Amino acid sequence: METKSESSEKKQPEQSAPFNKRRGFLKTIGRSAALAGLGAGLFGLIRRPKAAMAWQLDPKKCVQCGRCATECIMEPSAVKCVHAYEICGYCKLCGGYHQPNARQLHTAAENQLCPTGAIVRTFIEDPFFEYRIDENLCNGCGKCVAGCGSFGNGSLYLQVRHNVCVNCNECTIAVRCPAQAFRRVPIYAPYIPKKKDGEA
Amino acid sequence: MKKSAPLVLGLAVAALVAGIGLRLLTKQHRVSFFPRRTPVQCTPDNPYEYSIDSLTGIDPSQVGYREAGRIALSLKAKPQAIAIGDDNRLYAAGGNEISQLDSAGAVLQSISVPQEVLCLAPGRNGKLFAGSRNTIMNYGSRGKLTRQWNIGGENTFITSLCGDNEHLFIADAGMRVVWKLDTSGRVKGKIGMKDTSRGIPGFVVPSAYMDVAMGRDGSLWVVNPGRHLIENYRTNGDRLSAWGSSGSNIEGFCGCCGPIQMAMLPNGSFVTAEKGIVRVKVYDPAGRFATVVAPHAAFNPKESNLDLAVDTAGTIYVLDSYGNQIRVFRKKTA
Repeated sequence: METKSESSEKKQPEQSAPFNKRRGFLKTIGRSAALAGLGAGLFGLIRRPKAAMAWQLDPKKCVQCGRCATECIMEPSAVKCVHAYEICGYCKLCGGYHQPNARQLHTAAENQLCPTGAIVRTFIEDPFFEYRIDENLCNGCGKCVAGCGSFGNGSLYLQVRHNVCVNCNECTIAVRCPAQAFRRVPIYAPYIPKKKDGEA
Repeated sequence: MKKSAPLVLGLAVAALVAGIGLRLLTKQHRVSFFPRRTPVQCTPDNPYEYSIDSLTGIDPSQVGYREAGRIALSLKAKPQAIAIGDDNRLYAAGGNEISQLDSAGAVLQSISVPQEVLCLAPGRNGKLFAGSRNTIMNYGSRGKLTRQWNIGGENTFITSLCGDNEHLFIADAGMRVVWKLDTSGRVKGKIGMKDTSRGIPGFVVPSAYMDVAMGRDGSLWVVNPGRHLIENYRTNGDRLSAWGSSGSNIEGFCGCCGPIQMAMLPNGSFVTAEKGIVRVKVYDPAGRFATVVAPHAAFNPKESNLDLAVDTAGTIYVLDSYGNQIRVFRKKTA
């Protein structure tokens, strides 16, 4: 009678060929994976994938030069004024809404600073008003941003709105920006929001 | 398989070396596969330019003070507050430091403070009160911390202090109230909270500016910056009167919140400071515009921390935090 060990010794030479085949296959897979990883790393070293980046405007560098309104290929510009409500004072006399020499603090056109009337003012309770940007009207000129920064808390600031921006390979505003405030940001964090402490 | 192994390994090493070499080259010579143009020089024309130049000019005949001197400060941090005691001792604070100065600016004493100082109020006999975010610190005449207590809540932000013999009044811009404390630090009441039945509209504080000062008659004057008013209260909290108006004109207070600072002259007149259009003005005891102390052109246009102090002779001291100095203004003589 054959023992169990003898039978296994006899079977082993039959199994060695497929076993070696499998080892070879795994080695090939491993080498291929290593090469692919190396290739990806090499590409990443040279340049991060373009599709993963977007243009954005750093509010700390922005000087409200007006070029966001005039240089963007989109009409009106893809740059819009946005509002950091947690910074806003909800003032009755708003430096971003009113002309600096406004005679009356109401919504009459002659008192408004915005050239397109894109800021909507809503009464909350005396003496507080909420200010909202109508992005369909905003052309990104930054006039309100300058006014808010001069006389208020600086809660209004400009940002590239990615629902409008077509993410040009070479942004025409970025080329013309005198403050070099435009930079590429990761698409998973496409905005540079202003924080309450004033740090962008 | 085994024969191809060195070939694969060699290719991998070559690719790695080539990649690193290429990266180093592009970095060193600033070469990019997607070159960005350097920004072009733009013409200064801006069809949307925001300018307040037409509002900052002041008729020289309206300026009733002249600059009599400048006191350079040697604080390690940006100066935040100044004050003058009854004995005309000058104090300046910035960061965690308070300096006591003589009239020439020489440092007589330097006090190290556990918290960042936001405001100062000299007490009697050389004592000094310093306010930080939610803490009041009391220093003796030799600069030793004698007492310290916290007030308010989570949002408390102390911006100004003043007091009489019995009470200390603390402007809390975060809670929009003036705290009334006794000399031992116990809270004795709150002043200025909205109460329509008592005719108190409440403080509106868009940003952290709210000043208090004691009047000659022992009443309390408080800046209500969001309403552009200076309000007068009894120390029991009754509202007596208010004056002030919004506007960029010389009579008004400009910006979202103004005035940002206030001080009382010995004759009961008010000295006020504004930001946006940076200017220091004097109003008579009835609240009528009297004269300009310093126009916009005298300061950095971004200056927003013009703390004020007045000595017994009526000399006005203005903190110029951008210049790291105190500017001294005296009334012009005929």
